Amino acid sequence: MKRLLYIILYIALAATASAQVKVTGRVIDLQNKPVSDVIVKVVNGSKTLAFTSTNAKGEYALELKSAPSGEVSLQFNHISYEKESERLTLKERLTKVDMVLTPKEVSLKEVTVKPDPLRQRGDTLSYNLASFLKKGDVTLEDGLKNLPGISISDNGAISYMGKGISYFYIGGLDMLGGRYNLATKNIPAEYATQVDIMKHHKHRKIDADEESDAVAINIKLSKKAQFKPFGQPEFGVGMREDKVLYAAGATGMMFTDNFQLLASAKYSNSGNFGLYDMVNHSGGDTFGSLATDKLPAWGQAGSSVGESVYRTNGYGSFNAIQKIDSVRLVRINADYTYERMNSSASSEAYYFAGGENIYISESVSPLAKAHRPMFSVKFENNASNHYFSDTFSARAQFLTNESPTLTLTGGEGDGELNSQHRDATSINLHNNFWGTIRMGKKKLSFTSNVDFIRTPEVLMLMNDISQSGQSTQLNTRHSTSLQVKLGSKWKIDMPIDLTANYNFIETELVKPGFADQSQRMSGWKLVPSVNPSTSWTSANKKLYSSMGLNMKILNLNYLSKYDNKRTTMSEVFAEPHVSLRYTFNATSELNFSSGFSNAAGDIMDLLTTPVQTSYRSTSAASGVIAKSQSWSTDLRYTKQVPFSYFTFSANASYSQGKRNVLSSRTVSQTATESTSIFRDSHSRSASGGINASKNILSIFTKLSANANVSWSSSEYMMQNSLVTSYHTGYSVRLQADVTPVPWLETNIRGDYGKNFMRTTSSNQSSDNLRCTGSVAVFPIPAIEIRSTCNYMHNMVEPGKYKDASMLSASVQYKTKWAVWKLTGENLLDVRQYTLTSFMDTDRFVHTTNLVGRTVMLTCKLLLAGHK
Amino acid sequence: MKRQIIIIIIALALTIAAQGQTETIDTSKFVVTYDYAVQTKMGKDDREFVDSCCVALMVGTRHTMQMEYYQYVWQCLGERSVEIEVVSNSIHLYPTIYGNYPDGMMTTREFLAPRLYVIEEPMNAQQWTLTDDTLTVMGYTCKMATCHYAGRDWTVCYTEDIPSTAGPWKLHGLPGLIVRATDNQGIHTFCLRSLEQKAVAMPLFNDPKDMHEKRDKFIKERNKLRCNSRYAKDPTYYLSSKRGMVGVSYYDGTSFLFWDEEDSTPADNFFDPIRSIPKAENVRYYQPLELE
Repeated sequence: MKRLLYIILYIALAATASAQVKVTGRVIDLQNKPVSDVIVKVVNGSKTLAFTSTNAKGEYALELKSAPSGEVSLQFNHISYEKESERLTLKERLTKVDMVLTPKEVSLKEVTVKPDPLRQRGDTLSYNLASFLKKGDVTLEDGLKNLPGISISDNGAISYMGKGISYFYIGGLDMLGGRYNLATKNIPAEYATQVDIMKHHKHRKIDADEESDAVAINIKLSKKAQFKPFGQPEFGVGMREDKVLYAAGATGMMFTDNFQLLASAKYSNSGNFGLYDMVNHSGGDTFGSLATDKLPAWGQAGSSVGESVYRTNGYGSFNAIQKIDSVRLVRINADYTYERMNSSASSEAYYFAGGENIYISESVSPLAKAHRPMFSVKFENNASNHYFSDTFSARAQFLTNESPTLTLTGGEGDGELNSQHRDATSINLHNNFWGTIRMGKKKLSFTSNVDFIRTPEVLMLMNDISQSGQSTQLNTRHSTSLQVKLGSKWKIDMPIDLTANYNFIETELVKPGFADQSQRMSGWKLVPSVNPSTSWTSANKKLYSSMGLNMKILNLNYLSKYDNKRTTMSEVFAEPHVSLRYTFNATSELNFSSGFSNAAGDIMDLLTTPVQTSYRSTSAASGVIAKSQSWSTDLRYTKQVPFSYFTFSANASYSQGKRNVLSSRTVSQTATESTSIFRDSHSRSASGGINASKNILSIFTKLSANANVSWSSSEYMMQNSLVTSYHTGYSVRLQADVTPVPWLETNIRGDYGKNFMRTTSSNQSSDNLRCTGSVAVFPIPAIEIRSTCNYMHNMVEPGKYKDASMLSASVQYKTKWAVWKLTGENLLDVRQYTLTSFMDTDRFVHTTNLVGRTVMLTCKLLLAGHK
Repeated sequence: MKRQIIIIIIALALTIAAQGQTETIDTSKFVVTYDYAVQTKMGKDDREFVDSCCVALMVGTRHTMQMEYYQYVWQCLGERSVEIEVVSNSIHLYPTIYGNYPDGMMTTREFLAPRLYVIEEPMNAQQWTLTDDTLTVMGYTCKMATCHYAGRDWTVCYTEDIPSTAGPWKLHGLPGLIVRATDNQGIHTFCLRSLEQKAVAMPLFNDPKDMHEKRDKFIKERNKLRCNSRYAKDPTYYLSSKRGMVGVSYYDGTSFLFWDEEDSTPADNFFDPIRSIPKAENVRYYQPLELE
């Protein structure tokens, strides 16, 4: 029985096997060359029984499970050849059919279902802002943050796809220029209906045919916001060191098709209320002059942790824009900002004096007040065949500084109170003209930038010493660049730059018991420069090299008015530079760069008459134009291991330089005198570092470690003797970012650094440790809780350390009606911390007094959403 | 600001540098574009979201080549005005796929931060089942076919009017051009957008930094990484903060490519921080075309 079953199975299998048929063959063209990718199929009527395609040798093999009854068609199909077919009856188990194909012109039935994505997309993306608003979004800035591709930094700068925006329009008009924070932080989100993101934006219509990678944003406002004034109040109260904190602000706006107006005012003594409203993203919030640089203000006591400055700030801003017709407009911006900052700190200075250090202890309470009015008017004629614009701005700065200092010299006595007061007033007039006209296919452009800075007087009163100064500057600058690509391997770049400046400066020192010391210098500086460079990439892309030669002609002509001494210089400087990159493989790479650079000073180097910069410090320039040459080189290796999320890199760099002047300083118990003498000085430095990081995917943790070492030597004159100092420093950082659950983010970081300073007669060191931990919790979308803790362990003097811990926390709750934010800074009420640092051979122990525990509750009313 | 500009310039430089054109392998007889839509999830509430891009497929005499449409416009047509689109569409990380290159093989060049991986696999890995159904799609008479490939079941329409075995993504080997393809879960859809007879040179992209990897290992690691929902919210978490680093961040549905300045001093961005980029609220989760 069993044997019978086997026989039946064998017969059945044999029958099946005999039914399978195979068709093989080779397809060639008229030149007897194999044709690949020919579709070969067996068709019976309209039904495809089997199909395949030819390989690179033109061969194919088709299998059919059973032999079809009757005649079938064997078809050969290729896009570049005439279709061929052969009728055959597949009776044999193996049939061989070769085919020769005849080339043909490709003729396909083209189809376009949708327009080209390029044309369809255009360069403007429009978003309906309302659909992106989250519960509790208050300002336009909150709304913009939700849009795809938009990110906004802490100071309000908007960028799209990582690129900062060039223009911010409201209803197509650029009313605020770079100060668009006034709009984004004050216009209610509900009032903006549409946000257009314009890529490849060209502000000037005449540039329509040019390439641009600029991005602009245009806000369209709802009708309810367009034709009537509206405003948004906000306020806050708080407590700090038994003192009440307050904050208040209001903004009024009006937008019509041809006229826009925005006025805003805020005032607060809490420190950060409206702090970023007046940031100008185009730059130019403050400015300096020769006189204010020569006679600088005394700084506030800075702090790397917590807050050390008590700040009161306020501003008033008025902005309006009027469209004259379809191409012309006039814009006016006027504002006034006020800032008051005060802090306190003490320092113990150990000045290197050859053998014994000179010890001076100081307690300072700096106070700074700044009034900054600004007015600007812009006219623009923006037509498709011409463009003219002229922007005139006038700015002023009224700065007052005080820095009373209690000084204890030699560690004895009760100390002496030294008064220091400084007033500085500066004005800046700036005009920018831009004209472009089209002449046939050519365009002619002319730009002119003129900057006039005048400081009529800087007056510094230090005890019974009076130091004053004044300066005038007229600066212009023009530059252009030409870039040529030669094939795929070579590239040549040729930037050209021209700087032309006129400078005038005068200082006068009146000191009891001394003759008045005055100086008066004026002259000009003209620096044309050209920096040709070329780069080359090897065919296999493994080696990339670039080299260049920056050449500049420095022309100086300065006259000292009192002694009628003229200093001129006309010198050519050449700065070669080279860089190489070699890629070993996908995971490792070596970089090398090396260059020589020159620098030369200016009129400031000729101010040889001493100026008093504090109650005990004077400084004087060498009287020769400082020139320095330096050569630096850098080597770096990186290695990244794929899929293990481990990276490693190491770098080393070295530089050495020479100057034709030597810094000199003489410190006594009563005075510090700084100057430069005409004598060569040398410096060298070397540094190295390693970095490693590892990610652990399963627990969403990232660990990273960095270690650095640096060494440097420098020469200077101390107490009239030449000193060579050597500095060595080590630093280590360990960091862990852990996000155990999506609603919790934690970060822990530890930094340790140790520094050594050695000279022929002294040997000093300091070290410090800092740990930071932060936690952010998002229990529900409307609530955000954050807390940060800092711990510091700093050396005060050898073997003696001081510890400090800081804690801050904030809770924000957004409702439909208001945004409430409760902030607690310095919750442990730590009032000071101490740190040791080196400057050249001197050691300083700084004790910074911190702003005490601060609790502030702020509220921004959401009136806009309920109109 | 400087850094932000550098990011975008370098992102573009990346595209060029990483795809350094050295030789061309074929010239297209015709160019097909497909709309590629992927059903994904977005935001905290996992609401469904359809993301889309356009894919260009060049079909030559011996080889095929396909890539994201704007990459094609940039790289193959030399149109330099699409920088922003190239960057914005890089979110899809759509690979560059060479069909029948080298002979009998399919080569895929795909980005997985921080580098490009090159994977080779044999052609004709799909076992198609033809059905008798016919239909007209965009004026072409089409037939249906199905297959199981890389963990998904695919149903496609192909037209014998266009005698080519090519198709979107890695789908190929039918007796006519594939004009539509959908996976049976409805997650991925390719649909013919245009077909144009056009001779375009197909560049062979390679770079010494390309990492050659085995297909299975790459697919496994890619899916492990990019299918992690946390990764979608903050891809930089997995990247080193080192300079010279390349990374990709999905940010609110848009991507950033990072490449720190090549010629800055070591002190620049030493502790940097790609981490300083704000985290995404409305991210889209990755849906791999290959499950296995």
